Formats: sequence, structure tokens, C-alpha cells
Amino acid sequence: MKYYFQLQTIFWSRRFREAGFNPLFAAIFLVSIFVGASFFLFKYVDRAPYIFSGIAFFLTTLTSNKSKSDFLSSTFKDTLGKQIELAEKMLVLTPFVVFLLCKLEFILTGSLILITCTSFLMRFGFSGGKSIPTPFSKHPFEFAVGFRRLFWLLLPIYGLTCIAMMYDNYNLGVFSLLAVIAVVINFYNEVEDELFVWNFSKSVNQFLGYKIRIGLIYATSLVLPILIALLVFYLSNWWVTLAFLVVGLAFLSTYIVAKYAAFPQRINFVDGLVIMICIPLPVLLIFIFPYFYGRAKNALTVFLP
Amino acid sequence: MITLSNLSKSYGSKLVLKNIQLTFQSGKVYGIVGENGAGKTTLFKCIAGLENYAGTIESDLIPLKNHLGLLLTEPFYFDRITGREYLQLMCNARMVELKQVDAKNIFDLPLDQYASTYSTGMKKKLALLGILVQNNQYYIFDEPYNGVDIHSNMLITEIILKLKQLGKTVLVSSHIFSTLRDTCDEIILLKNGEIAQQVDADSFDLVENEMKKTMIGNKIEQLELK
Repeated sequence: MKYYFQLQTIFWSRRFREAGFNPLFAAIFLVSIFVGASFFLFKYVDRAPYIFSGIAFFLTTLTSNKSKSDFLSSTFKDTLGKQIELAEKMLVLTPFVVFLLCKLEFILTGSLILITCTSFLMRFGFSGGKSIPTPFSKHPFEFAVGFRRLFWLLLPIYGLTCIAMMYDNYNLGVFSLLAVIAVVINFYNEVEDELFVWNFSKSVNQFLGYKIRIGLIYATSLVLPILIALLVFYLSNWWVTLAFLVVGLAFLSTYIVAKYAAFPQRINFVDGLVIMICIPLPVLLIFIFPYFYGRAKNALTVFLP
Repeated sequence: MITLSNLSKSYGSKLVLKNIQLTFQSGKVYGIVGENGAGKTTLFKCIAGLENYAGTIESDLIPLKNHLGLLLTEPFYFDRITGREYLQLMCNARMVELKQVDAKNIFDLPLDQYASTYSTGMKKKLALLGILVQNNQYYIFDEPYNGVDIHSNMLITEIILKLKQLGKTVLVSSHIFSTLRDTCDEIILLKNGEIAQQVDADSFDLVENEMKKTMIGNKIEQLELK
């Protein structure tokens, strides 16, 4: 395990160097950004602890994918591969946990660790070959694949909504709405083979429009129960609820175009950072979305001339 | 019809295709043969527009890629997508309605299982089915017979003949010469990125003999088998 993490350190150092940064400077810079953004979030944004926890959880889901899990399981003996995966998630969680503890958010910290561990352990219970029914088969693949991968995560989130309504906690309700959108954004982490894009008899604009439209419709259908509950129980806050929904869907749209801006590669570190910066300042999406859209058009022209 | 004029492709300083001039007529099947690395797959990818190239590729239906079904040697599937959803995806991509999918499942594939759990042959058959349900005008089959059982081999041959009958343009690559003999109107032998020979059905023996001569030669004797 130690050697694996040493290799990861080397890997990240290389990535920083390739991006033109000194690794030590980059690490200090990232820590500073994290601390600065966290303080900013907690000072100026409502429901910051929930958003903060949501971001933390979202980041832990990015550390693993099927091919990596298969590689770790086949390379390391016994359960060491799984231990490494879990350790990676905890490593990602550490700065968030430290910050939450400093803010005396003990219950949220415990819940965050518990959800991360539970989601990790449950994933193996549903990794069999039988296909899980999905309502998203008409327009594969992101939602069909993503729903099967993470449906177990949606159930406790809907549970949270029920708790929020029972205990009259609007913030928790909004958190569950945003958590569903965070899960949906994670659906778009899978990068398809070039042939899957090439196959479309659409122009680049039509293709991106189709992807965004399907994403928005399906995402809205997943948040609909939470949305209805919030609108019914907190009608006076309807505009705040809808604002959160719009911002969440704006993030989803931006993430979709960012994915295709990097296509056929995964979203790189810098692009990921740009999106992360928008979380406390969602108004920046007005500028970031066209930026990624323009890049996506360039990247896809090869496959959709 | 597809016309290739002065088609060249290089990877860095290595020239993979050199001034290829070919015309593929509608209602005909063309076999592309050659050693591994001769440039067959690169040629297919250039026609599909998946590779940059020098020269021109023209077709009577524009853009060519929107009317082309491309079966590559190793189809890609996501982990949690069923065979049925894959076919749906292929139809959505070409804005074709997927009808009577079970009736069209001529390979008896378990369409409600994840495609990634299929065997190599089943994956190939699903990919083939995927481009057939799109109703394309042009087809490229890169090694369609590889890893596929004997019954499906026969079925694929019949599919190719049916496509020909329907006036489609079909390009097939295969290392199994007999399958090409059964289906092709012309065979093109690629060698080091160039057309070494192009013959019609009456002269397939010439290509087969040429391949035996250049690719096998006296290599068996070199083994000194006793």
C-alpha cells in the first residue's frame, strides 16, 4: 500500500510539472485555495456545511472507477486493493473532515464518513452481472449506466428528504436536491469510445444540444420528488428552491460540455479546478459554460464534421 | 459509391497508406486483404473519417459517415449497458426508430444482459446487429468473422450477400480467404500501405496464390518439422 501511494505522489508530481507548475508550489497553492474557498463558502453562502459535505462526497466518488478497481483487485492480494481504494477516499475526505471539525460540525462529519464508507462497501454488493432495470433505457448511455452504478446512493438521499420534511429542515431538503444533482454529474465521468460519438448523424451543436437536453430532462425527473416535496412544504421559499435547481442544472450542463471539451480524454485537473471554483461562485458559470462549449465544438468537429 | 483519390496516411514519418485510388460501387462487395499492419484498419478509419488523411474521399451520400456502418475488430461496450440499450443507442444516434428488436435478434443474443459480459463473438455479433438496425447505405466490416461461431459465420455471409442484393456498398476485411470468395465481387490486396493487386471474382486464385507466395513462402520449411 505504501508503494502505491508513493507512486501516486510521483504521478501527481508529474502531472503538475506537465501543467507547468512546481509540485511543491502547486500543493501549497491548492491548500491555500482550499482553505480560502472553504472560509469564503462558510462566510458568504447559506447552507455551506451541506454544500461543503456534498462537494467532499462528490470528490470521493471520482477516485474510483471500474477499470481501476479491477486493476487494484487483480494486482494486490486479498482485500488490499479494496483497502487502497477506501484509503484513497479517506485521503480525499481528510481536509474536508478537518475543516468541518474546526467548524464543530460533528454530526455532519460523522455522516459524511459513514456515507462514504457505506457507499464504497455497497458498491461491491451490486457489481454482479444481472442487469438492473432503469427508467432511462430510451436514451442510453449516461443515465442508464450511471443509474445502475449509483442508484443505491439515491435511495438514502431521498430518505434524507423525508427526514428533512419530518423535522422541518429546509436546508437538509435543499442539500438532498443538490446531492442528487451531484450524483447525476458523476454519471458523466464515463468517457465513451470515439466511435460512440462518431456514430451520431448530428452536427456538433445538435449533438451537444441533445446531450444537454437529455441530461436536463432526466436529472429533473430524478430530483422531481424532492422538488415537489420542497415546493409543497416550503411554498414561501419556492424561488430559492427553483434557484438552487437552476444552479444545479447549470452545473450539470457545464460539466457535460466540459466533458466533451476534453474528449476523447477525461476532464483534466485544471478544467476540474475551474468547475470547482464555480461552486462558491455559480455566477461564473455564465462565462465558463461558453468557454467549455467553444472548446467542445473544436474537440468534436473531428468526429462530427 | 465511394471514391478514394490519392489517399495517403502517415503516423509521424511512417507512411501507412500511399496514394490509394479506389472506387467502391453500390451493390458490390469488396474484400480488403493483407498482412497485419498492411493498412486495412487505417484505410477503414480514413473512410469513416476517424483518421486525418491526405487526398480525397467522396461519396454519393453526404456526409459519408452518416450513412456508414462501421464494425471494428474489437467493439467497445460500457460496463452496465445491456445489449438492448446498445441497439437503442445506435438507433438514437442515427435518428432511426428501433422496432421489433427481438425479431431482429437473429443471433439470439441475451439482449437484457450487460453487453460487457458477452463473449468476444457475442460482442461482435451485437456490434454487427447495431449497424444493421441503423439501415446504412455503406458498410465496413473489419474482421467480422473473428471469434464468431460457425453458425454465425454462415449467417454473416448471408447478411453480406443480402446487403449486396439491396444495392449497398460493402467493404470486408478477413484473414479467412474462403469467406471472401463466397461474398466478394472484388478483392484488393494491400501490401505496405499500397494496392499490390486488385482483382475481380474470376481471378481470386491469383490473389490467394500471391498471398501464399509472399506471406508463407518457405517459412514452413524453416521450421524443419520432422
